[in-house]
Amino acid sequence: MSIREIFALICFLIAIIFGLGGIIGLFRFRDPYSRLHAGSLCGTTCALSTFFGLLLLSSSIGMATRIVVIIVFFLISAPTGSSIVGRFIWESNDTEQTKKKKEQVL
Amino acid sequence: MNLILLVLILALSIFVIASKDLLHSVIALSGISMLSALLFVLLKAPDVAITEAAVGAGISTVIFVWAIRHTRRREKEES
Amino acid sequence: MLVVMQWFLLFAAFACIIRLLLGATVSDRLVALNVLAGVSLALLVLWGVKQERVLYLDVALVYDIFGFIGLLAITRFLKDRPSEGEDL
Repeated sequence: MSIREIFALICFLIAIIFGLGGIIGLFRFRDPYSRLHAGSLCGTTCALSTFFGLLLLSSSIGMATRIVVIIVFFLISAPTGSSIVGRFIWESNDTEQTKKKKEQVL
Repeated sequence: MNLILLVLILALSIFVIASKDLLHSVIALSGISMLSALLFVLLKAPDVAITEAAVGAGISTVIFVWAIRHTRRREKEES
Repeated sequence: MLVVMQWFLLFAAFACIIRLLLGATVSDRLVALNVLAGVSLALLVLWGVKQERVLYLDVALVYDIFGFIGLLAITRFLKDRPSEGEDL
């Protein structure tokens, strides 16, 4: 087990912990907002630490550069995707419960 | 391994047919195209997976949503 | 080590799909789709590294970009029609 594999193992463990947290969060919460918060946050962290672990394990230079590009694009697209979904939830349901929430905020 | 992905695709496609709201089926369709791209990578066909990922997640979902935008979103109940 | 990670990511994707099937409102489904995209991206890169084929990583890159564009399209088109079953 070389140094790189130990670090990769640590990254994978982090990914597993956050992944489990995200899945439990997705199923436990009732409100779409908190589900979105738990799911996307832990999903992004899990994927990101998996990418870091794989970056350490990648054999050739070409693979490593590609994984770095994928990490950059993933960091751009995942959080903005989550915020867009959040904005969509905020605008879309005009139920009674969310009207009160909107008064509180605005 | 392939079997699991195939079972998931089957479950999603049954859901696409069963759902009343067209929008839910479009979202499930986008999930199906993602899973099929995953399956193509598993079957060692990366070029097919690239086109499936590009078409499935990118273009077909946009066209479906656009079509839904012009028609009625909920299927008409047979009154 | 990679195999354990692969099975865990498959389990996460399976849980996301269960969430997508069960979720009643559109917003839950979009959330599940968003998380599923991230998890399947990780699976793609993991298979790419496992088989040491560099071409698989391009699939993940293409999928990331188009997934983002698809999500933008879904939410942008639905911004002006939030209510259910409104007839045109």
